Amino acid sequence: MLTAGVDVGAVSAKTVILKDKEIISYYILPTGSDVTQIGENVTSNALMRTGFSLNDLDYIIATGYGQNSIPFANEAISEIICHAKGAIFLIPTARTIIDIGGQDSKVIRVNEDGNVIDFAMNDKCAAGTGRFLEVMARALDLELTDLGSVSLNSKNPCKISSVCTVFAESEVVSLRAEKKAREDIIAGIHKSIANRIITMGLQIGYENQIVFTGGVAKNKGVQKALEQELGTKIAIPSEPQIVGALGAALLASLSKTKT
Amino acid sequence: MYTSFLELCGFTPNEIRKELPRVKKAFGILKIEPEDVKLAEKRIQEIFDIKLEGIRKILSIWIKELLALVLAKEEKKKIVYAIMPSPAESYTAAMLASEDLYVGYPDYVLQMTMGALFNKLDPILEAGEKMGMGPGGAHCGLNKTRLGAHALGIISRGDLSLAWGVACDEGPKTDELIHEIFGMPVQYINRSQDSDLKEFPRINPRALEYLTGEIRRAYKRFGEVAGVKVTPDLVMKAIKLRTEFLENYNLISEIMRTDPIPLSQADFLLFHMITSVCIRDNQGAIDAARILYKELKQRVEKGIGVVKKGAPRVLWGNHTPVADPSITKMVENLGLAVPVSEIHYLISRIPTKVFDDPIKTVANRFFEMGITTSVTGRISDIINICKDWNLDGVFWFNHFPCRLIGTDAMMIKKAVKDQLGIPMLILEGEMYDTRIYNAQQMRTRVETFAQMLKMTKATKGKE
Repeated sequence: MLTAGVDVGAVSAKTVILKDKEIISYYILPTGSDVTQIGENVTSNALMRTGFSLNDLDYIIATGYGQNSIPFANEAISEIICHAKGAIFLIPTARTIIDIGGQDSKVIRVNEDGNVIDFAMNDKCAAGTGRFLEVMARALDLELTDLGSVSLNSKNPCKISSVCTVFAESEVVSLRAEKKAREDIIAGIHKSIANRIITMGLQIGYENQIVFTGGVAKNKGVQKALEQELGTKIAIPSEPQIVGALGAALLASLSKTKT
Repeated sequence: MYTSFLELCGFTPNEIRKELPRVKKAFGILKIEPEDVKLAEKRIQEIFDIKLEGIRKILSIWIKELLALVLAKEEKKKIVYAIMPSPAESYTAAMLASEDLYVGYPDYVLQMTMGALFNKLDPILEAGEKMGMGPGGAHCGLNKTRLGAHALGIISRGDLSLAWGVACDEGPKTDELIHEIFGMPVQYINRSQDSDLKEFPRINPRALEYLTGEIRRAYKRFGEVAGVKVTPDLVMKAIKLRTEFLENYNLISEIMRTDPIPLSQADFLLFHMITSVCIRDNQGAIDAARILYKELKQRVEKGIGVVKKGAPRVLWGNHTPVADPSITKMVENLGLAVPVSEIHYLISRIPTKVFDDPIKTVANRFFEMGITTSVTGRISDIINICKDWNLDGVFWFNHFPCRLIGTDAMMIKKAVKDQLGIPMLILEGEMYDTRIYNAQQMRTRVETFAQMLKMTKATKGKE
């Protein structure tokens, strides 16, 4: 059976192609302004590597912010449900998932079947998300992808007290003016994100194994800060950005089986 | 221009003829333009189930309340304002004292009409913010509405505000601000705040005596200002009148137990809010409830529902948003059946204890709701509702600026999970201000919660 999961997030679009529940291809593209078009593009790119076409797919599930704008999808399912399915498929011992994406962050509790039993998600505020890191990288004249490695050199992380992206940026500018080391500022930013996420997740609680997914999971500095604050090791899938799309593709296999 | 709008809102041809001049005057004061009326017609048809005569009738009651509020001064009435949360009987008794009086809840009337029907609440809220209740300060939208309406001259300066500080301090503080700026006299109704956490459902006799005395004191001041007395007979009459409405309202409430549920909570809100305020046309509201009940019975017989049969059933914590009922529709459209909302279910309970002194009956009724006594009292009520209605989860629309109901969500979530094993979703929102949240922003969480409950229900069904 050939299924696809299409996760169109605020920042990036991801498609995973499964053949008999084995990942045979995936692709990631920046979302841009045309959600429908990017859904098509990312899926055709993922398919291109397989030799299959859209018509060969038995079932497609869309998820993410753009889930209702993917006309070729058979069904749309919430990304929280999809993340849970994807994470437990990759790491069967997962019981808590921390997912930090472009503009939202979530803590999800799952049971052994990958069913969501509770979740918490940021609501009005972008602090504690990928967007927050983007703004900070710009304020520090760094590439987003460099934040993690630079921060690992920090010996004395700065305290970033603000929980607001805009005010935190002003705080970072002030710290730069005070000639604080860049690695210490970034480590402080990571600690601030970790604190925010962990506090949000306290309303549902944490249970090991904790798994970290989403684009921000590629940042080693945030991983380190989360581990320090949680006092436990967290697991990260080899490609943490596609977990939602993978979950959608897995749910597509289940849906197809039922029909 | 207004005729089709009034027809849509359930006005009869005679009522339209009679009310049209008042409508024109009031809409002029409210700056409701012809374009706004057209947009309101569209909005009402999108949100409310106007196929139902009971819904149209209750819409007419709200429009009449808007007219009475806005034209009170022009119609030479003495004006006495009420604030929430308070038992509507206490103000209804005052209203019944004379036809030359306007007694009412200006903020609720404006929320239900300028908010829910016309979607023109923002300028009022912004005016309130400019007068001192700044944005971002976690001030309740109800209080901003009252202050803003005074600032814009939409409502006239009251001759008196009977400000209940019994469960919330910001309400009377707002009226104090209105007093300072606009010179409106204020009489405060207070209570002793020291409820024991284990007290509920027992009612502290000292607190009851104190509140009874406070209401009596307020009525004395009312008599001095209005020139008419609130007699025990009037209080008794108000209790009977309100009870008659509640009896009919509760029939609708009970029919919401059927699966599929026959009415959206967005529609039911139009009746919920009548349980909380005093209105002029009590008989009209009773008739509307009777009509709606009959219509819903027919729906039940035909198996017609607003959400799919078998959908997960949840308690709506607090009550559904007033200024923006589209949030409620979004929740139902995502597959959650909402048969009951916490606050109005509690408010609608008929007084169980009747004293010789009817004022004491009113005071006692206020304490019969756990929410007005303690967090543990509130938890106890919520657990009982969930058990009684056999619910699958709790959907909590947290009114974050509220002193009374905005701080205990996490404790309630824990209690619901520990005692009943059902999940609760908490969404931060504002029941009286649409500017700080929207349906789209909440959609992912509601959708996930709905899917989560469906999966749990499906698994239970297999077991």
